[in-house]
Amino acid sequence: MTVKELIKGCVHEDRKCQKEIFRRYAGKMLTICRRYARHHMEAEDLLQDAFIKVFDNIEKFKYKGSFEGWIRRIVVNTAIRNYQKSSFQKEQIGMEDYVHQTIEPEVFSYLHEEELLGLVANLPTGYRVVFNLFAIEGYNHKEISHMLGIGESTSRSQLMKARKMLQFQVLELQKVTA
Amino acid sequence: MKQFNHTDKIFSDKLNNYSAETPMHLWDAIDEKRTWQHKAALLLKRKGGFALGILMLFALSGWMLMQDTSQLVSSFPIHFSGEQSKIAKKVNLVELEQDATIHSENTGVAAEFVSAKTTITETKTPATNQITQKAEPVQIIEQQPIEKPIEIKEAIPEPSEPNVIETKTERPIATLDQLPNLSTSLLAETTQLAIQAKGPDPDCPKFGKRLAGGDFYIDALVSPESYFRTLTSKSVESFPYQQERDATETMKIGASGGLRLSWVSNTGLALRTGIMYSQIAEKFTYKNGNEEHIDITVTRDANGNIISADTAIIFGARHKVTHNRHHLVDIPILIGYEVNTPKWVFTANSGIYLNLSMKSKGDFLSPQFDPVTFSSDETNSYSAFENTVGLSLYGSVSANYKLTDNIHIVIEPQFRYYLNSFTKSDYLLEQKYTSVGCLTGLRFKF
Repeated sequence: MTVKELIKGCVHEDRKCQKEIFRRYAGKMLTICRRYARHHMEAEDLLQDAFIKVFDNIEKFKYKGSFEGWIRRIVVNTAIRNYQKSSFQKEQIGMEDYVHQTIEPEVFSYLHEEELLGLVANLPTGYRVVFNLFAIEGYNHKEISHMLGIGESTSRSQLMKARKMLQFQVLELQKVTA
Repeated sequence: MKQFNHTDKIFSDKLNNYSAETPMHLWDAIDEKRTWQHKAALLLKRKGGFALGILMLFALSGWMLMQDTSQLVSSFPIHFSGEQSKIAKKVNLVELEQDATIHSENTGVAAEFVSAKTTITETKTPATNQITQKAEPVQIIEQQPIEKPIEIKEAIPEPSEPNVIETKTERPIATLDQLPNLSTSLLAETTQLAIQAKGPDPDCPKFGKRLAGGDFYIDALVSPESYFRTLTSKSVESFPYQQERDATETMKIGASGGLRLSWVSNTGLALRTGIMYSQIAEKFTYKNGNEEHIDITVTRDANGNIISADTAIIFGARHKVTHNRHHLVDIPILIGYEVNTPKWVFTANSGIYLNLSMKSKGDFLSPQFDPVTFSSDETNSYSAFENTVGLSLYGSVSANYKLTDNIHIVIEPQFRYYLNSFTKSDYLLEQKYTSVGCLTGLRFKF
């Protein structure tokens, strides 16, 4: 079935079409949820909530742009809402422990996707959300500040700290493996 | 402009399209959460406009039906009495004979005189020129040869206005010359009666002014209301806010009630107005497991000077539940059509509600996702809602049971769609409502 046929089926609450949509997109969307969530269980909860919203609002999809992009936006928004509910943006992490030692970015390229996901998941939630939105989703600081209800400067500083923490984690990882 | 960062690019390249194994075990949980109630609410939300259309169509059909039937005589039966009744019957008999003859000409039996025996329906015939339509099938009871066809057709003028009774219509009656073979005694009697019939007019109603008169009613009505809310973000950026408001607010059963004045014409056309109050109820639920509360304690000396100020940041969970209310006062302006039966009155109505005022009070999430209070009465509260919401469309059908001729019980399922957003133009979201309910109450004729 084509995506259009599946969408039409979902509008009419066809369970088979809904299941097929889930089968096609849930894997990739779970990865997105994992980037925003603190742990796997939370990621699965986010995915459930997001897909319920997808099926509830599917008649609003107007075939402008890709369907996957539309689902992705709902998933990201669901993750952001979850973050805002918890008010983790107020979380402060002392950065003095993170050494000023820098590493070459290429180090990250040797890591597998699951390892990278693990590094992102270890970030404090505020940093993690800003890093995801900026580095992976491609939003700028102005958009992020609007989405999260924080200042642009806060967004910048959290991104900078997120990058530092990622580097710190890689260094720690190297120490362990060495 | 975004600055290029190598670390970001590596993460983006590797994770942007990375797909984990499809978690099919979650499908059942999603399917379970979307219960039939959930789907029914969604369906109603999606098809609300369609339902409104059906109601409007129904109301329009009622209106068209009224247009079609407006030519009928609503104040029939005309009660004949005594001698007049006999006269009318006899006159009609003669007229029927004329009609039957005309019919026989058209069907090629012109060479024979046809006498018709028919049953005249006194109470149902709306117009004299339609008598033959209301009569039972003509039976030929006597056939006698005549010398030439009777030319009565010319003697019957075409009515100038079909289906409208002119009580003073000069309708020629067959004369003895035209009906040579009728028995002399019958004709004599008939003619005499016909002459008498042309005397004083029977007490017939005037049908020209159909909208004149009518009855006035006052209805006292109350209804439980189910409201369906539609939140629409005005921009892509505010979509997350819309989702969050949807997630934190649920609709509750509301109510409406008021007084309605109706004028119902003899034709069934009804015009209604009055004053109606509606209450929209919502529940706002806010949970935050990691709330931060700043508590500042100021210590002063005996002279009131500040000695010290202690600031304490308290972390804890916050659970806030607020029952929000929107109170509306409206003037209904409705048109309807009523069908009267001995025990019931059935009506269809449509029209508009003109909102006079709206007052809102409660809590919701601000665009910064903090719970804030909105209140029409408090100027310092968050300002998001209008003071009036303009027009709403209304459609209903009702069945009114007659306790007595002057007191009816009203049961009126109704549907209402608010055309305008309840929120101000500079607010990030549009907030519209649709309601369904069932007005019940009493109707008094006065």
